[in-house]
Amino acid sequence: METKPLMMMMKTSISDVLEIMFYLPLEISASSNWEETGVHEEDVLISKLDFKGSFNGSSFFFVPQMLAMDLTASFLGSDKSQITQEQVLETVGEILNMMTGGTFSSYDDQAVFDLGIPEHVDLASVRAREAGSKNIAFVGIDTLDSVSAFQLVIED
Amino acid sequence: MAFNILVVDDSLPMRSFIKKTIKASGFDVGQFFEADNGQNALEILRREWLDIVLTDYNMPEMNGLELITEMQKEDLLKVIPVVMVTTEGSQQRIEEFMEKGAMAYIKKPFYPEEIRQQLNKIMGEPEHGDQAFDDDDEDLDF
Repeated sequence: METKPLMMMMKTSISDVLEIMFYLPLEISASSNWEETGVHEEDVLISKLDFKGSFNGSSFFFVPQMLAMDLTASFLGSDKSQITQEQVLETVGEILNMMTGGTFSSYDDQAVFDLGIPEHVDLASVRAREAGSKNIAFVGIDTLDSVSAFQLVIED
Repeated sequence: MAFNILVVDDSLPMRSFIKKTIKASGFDVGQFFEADNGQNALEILRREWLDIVLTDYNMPEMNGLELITEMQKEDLLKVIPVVMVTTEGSQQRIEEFMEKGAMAYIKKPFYPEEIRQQLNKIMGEPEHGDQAFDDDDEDLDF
């Protein structure tokens, strides 16, 4: 499967979600995998969403804890001191949900994809999902003082 | 006139965001109700007086489409306008939402203005409101 067209849609979807709903200015980074971003594993939150449709697989959103807090506070219109970890995880999951849905509808608005429910996972789970797949689309996201990423792993 | 609004989404932050957006838009809200899936939404709809429902599609236990289908089976619920607020973007599924009885569709992510416009369109257009009332008031005995 050719992942380049999909990556174009991923970039558009990232901009749509983070700029429209979170007012977050961003640039697409040159990183081609999460390790290249230099963010320590213990500092990152990862949300995973399974999908089924014209092709099957999983999507992931990698985001440092501090940025996740900022995004949640912005989304809820609350002070960071009042944000709970549950709210942070749910917000990160919702961002992934919107990015994934936006990517697929831009890629092919005639295709129907069933999205699962977002769940919080660790980096080892991402690596396990990647194992054996040749179709991995990774898009790094540079924001003012942080980095995050959106990734699709498509089953062969 | 203040409207009672039910927001149905399994994401608590998204429910909060939608409520915040509606409040900021200046729409006249009586009371907000919230549910995290279609089944819980139905229980609220059977218990409370609601003027409009904004619902997500993809939720555990009962999704937004199943919620609309269940609402259509009940005379008191099928007249309540439903707006789908969802990441779903496939034409097939959008057509399905509308065929099943959704009155409008808002794709996530959305600009706050889109919510306000849809609510005003549905609740603020007198000719539409009159028509909906005329269609259903024949059997009502006040």
